[in-house]
Amino acid sequence: MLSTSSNVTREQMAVCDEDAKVEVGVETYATSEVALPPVPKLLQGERPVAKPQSVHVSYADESMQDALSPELDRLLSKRNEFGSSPTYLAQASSLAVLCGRLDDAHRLAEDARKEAPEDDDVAYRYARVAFYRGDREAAATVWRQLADGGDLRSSLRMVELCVLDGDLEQADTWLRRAMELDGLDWRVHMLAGTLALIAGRGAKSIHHHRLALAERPRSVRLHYTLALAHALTGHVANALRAIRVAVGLDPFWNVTLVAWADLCREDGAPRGVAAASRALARFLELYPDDKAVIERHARLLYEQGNFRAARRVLSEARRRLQDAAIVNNLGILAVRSNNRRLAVQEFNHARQIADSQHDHEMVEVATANLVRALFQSDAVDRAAATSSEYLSAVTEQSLLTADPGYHIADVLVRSYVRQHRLSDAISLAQRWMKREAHPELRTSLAEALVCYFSLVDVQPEQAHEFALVAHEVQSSLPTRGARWNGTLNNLVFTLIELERLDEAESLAGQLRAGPGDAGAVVYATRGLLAIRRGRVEKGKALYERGISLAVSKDIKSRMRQKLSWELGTYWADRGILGKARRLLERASVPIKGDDWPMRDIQRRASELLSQL
Amino acid sequence: MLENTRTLIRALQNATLDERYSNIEVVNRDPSSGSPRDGDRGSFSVIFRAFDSATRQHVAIKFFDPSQQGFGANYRMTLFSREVDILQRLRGKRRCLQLVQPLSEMAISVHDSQENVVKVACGYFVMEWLDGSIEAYFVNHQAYDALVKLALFRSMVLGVFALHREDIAHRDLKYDNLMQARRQDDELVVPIDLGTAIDLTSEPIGGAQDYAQPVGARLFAPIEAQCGLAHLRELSVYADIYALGCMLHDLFNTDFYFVRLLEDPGFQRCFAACNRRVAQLRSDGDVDEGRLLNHWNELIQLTGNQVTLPSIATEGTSVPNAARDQLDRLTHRLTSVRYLNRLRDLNAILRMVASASRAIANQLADQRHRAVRLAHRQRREQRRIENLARLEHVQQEALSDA
Repeated sequence: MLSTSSNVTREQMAVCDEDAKVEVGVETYATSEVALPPVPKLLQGERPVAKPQSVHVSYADESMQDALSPELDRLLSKRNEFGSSPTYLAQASSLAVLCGRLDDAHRLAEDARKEAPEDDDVAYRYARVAFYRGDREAAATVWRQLADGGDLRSSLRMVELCVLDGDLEQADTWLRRAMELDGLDWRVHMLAGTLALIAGRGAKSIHHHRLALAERPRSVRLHYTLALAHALTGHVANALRAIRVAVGLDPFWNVTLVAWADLCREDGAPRGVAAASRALARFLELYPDDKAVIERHARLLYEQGNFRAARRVLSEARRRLQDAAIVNNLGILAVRSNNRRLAVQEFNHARQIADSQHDHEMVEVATANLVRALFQSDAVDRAAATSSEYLSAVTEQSLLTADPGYHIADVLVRSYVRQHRLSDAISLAQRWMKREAHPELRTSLAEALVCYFSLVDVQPEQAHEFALVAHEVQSSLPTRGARWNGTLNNLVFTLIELERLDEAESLAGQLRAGPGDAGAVVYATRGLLAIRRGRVEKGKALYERGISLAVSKDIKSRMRQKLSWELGTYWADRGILGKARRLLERASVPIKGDDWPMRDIQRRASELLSQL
Repeated sequence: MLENTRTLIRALQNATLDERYSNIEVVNRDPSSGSPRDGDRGSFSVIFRAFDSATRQHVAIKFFDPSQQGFGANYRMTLFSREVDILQRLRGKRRCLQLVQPLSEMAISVHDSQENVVKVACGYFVMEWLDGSIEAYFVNHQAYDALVKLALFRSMVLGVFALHREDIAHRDLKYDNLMQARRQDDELVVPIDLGTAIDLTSEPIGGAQDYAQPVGARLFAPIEAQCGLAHLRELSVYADIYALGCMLHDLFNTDFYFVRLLEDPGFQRCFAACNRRVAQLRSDGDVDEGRLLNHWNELIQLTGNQVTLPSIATEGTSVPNAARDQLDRLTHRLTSVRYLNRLRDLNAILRMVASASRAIANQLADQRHRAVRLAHRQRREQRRIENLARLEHVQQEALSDA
């Protein structure tokens, strides 16, 4: 029997996968960050891309600046007394940076340099203030000079500057020089680890991180970047170990918590997921507005099957934040609770919010979920209209190649089929099949065409051709899941329909049967093969097993009808008309629920009955 | 707004108070405007320097600022009189600031809101005048010998512990509030400005809401005080110890301890989380001291592990190599983010300071010894060369004679 259940893709919670930021500076007073792919993408093997970065200077917050400014003023009032001391000037300059008074800081650093032109520490500080002010050129000039004279701090600063400029090769040269100056310094190894991470060399990065951690075991940043390095090498368990230490040291850093949640999800161990979920809940008690953590927490709860808790988290967040992803995720929870009407409302609301915030990515996610929910709640006309409207508003090619956009295209084709606008569906499917569409969409379209040519406009050769395409697409993917099994099942089915039973039999051995609709249809296919081979009792037994294992009532009814049709024609061919008539009568009756795939069989059964 | 302050300053400048204090001049306010000097925004008193004809010494006269009005004025006045009480208790203690005259009143004529002239009584008290500032050791640390700075630190510790021995915590320690004083030929360090000091044996005088903002100098205040828990009595002694740790660091480094602490991302996040939690507790109306302390202990236990305290010996430090580890350990023991881990044992602190001083002295002695040996060797070498030259000369003469 044809597998159609695998066509229904499961909704996923919308989670904003922000880039993983890693620090490339040594002093984190002003942070120089480089963006890496988010943890899930690192695990999928995506490599970091080095590109020029801007420096993010994070001074003390405003209240701290207000509190420290009088201290600076008090210090500056002593200038007549200590104005000629470079130490005094440098001290005041540092404090001025913290107060956000960069011009004062620059003036003081400049004066300190005039007082002590030979002092390396004063020169280093001068360059640091220039760097904070965005004058990278001036900073680089001084630091280069100091680094050439053997100053380790300045060498590390040169590494930082080169990374920020995207010049990893030059950064590596400076790093080697720093390594020569002091190969035991933890800062050198920390930067070496980060640099290796940015360059996509996970093993080297791990090595340097371990050396740095020997001296700085409490550094959350080091444990976090070590976890990213493990993720880069694909070792989820090691990454989890490192990130757990980081979270243990700092349970209130959203960056590590988000990474932990992503890694736990990847790992899938229930104890780990529960621990991560608890940590996220504790974080949200203190920072209830952190969107990334809210999304992860709800997703973990949702995937654990704890829908009520997930809804509580999201509903609480919705009260505080006007956020499309949160509303969208509430819609997904409504789908899970079979409240499709509410789901449609939520998805519509999410679309509106995303649209008002010009968040096109989120509009696409919410639209994909909306049309899917409409389609599954039999509002096929609305599903077709919404997806068609969306498709006409965006660039078709971008939609066909990206997730979740291709779901919209998929729903449109399937809605056309359900609306009996078969020519529209086929022309769209055939047009898109020729383009570089997303593999899952190509599979869906090919499967839709298999269904069409097998069940509606029966052309077994055409059906087989598309079944082959769908299976080839799935076989080309790195992982083989339920969908691969479904396409193979359809391929076997079309071969049986073409009476190429030997080929069908050889492929049927690879099929995985089991509980659930997708596994149950495999029993039906094997049963069909057995009947065509003439082993009627075995075929019947396999069909019965498939019917008992199927979950969906529609699938069960279709299986029964298909079995009746197959047995009816079998007995009719052998002249046992009474038995055949009884079975064909059953095959000709419209069944409850969605019976469009069976209409051709019902029609043919009726015709055969009239001939008997 | 500062009309009353200006009136007070005008009334006292070049006048004689109580027929005893003359040559009076204001020190912490601008004489013409009455506004605080040196960004001293938190000042609620007006301080004058005067000559005491009875003792023939200079004295400091501290007035409660007559411009202080509104809801906080009564509370501030209570603090002002508490300072006098504390100074009364410290009479005769050689490491403590000495009171010269207890709380007295002086009437000045001021204008009220309807522009009527009214007489207002201004409270004041008189203390000894100390002007041995130790600021230079901090802002110009490289100009001073490490042993001298350690001796100063020892004196600072003894001065602060002299208060603690009397169950008094200062709570606003910074190097401006520590003065060198000569007592019976000894150079001591004496804590001054006890305006925010607390008598640990007395009953609290205000509710927690009076302290919602951090008190004391931010650069020397521990994390719990930065987060607004400075009013918790149990923490006040630990706050003083933390300030001592900061000052030990600052005696040998250009950047302030707090500035360097803020560079640590671990501290930044720990601070942010603690700040937020305390604010949450306050907004929930949970201001009971015991419960606040419990919450704080839990929180700091959870988040404090990630903090890496600044080392006393980084680039640009003036700490001699020999004492780096000892002083690093001492600074960290004094400035731990968990207040209960801070070193409260005076003897232990003094032992660690003495040990560091010995190490430095040994290093210096060793350097001197090496220098002497080197000079001796150089002299011997020089003599040998001279002898050789002389011998050569003699041989040449002998040869030429021959």
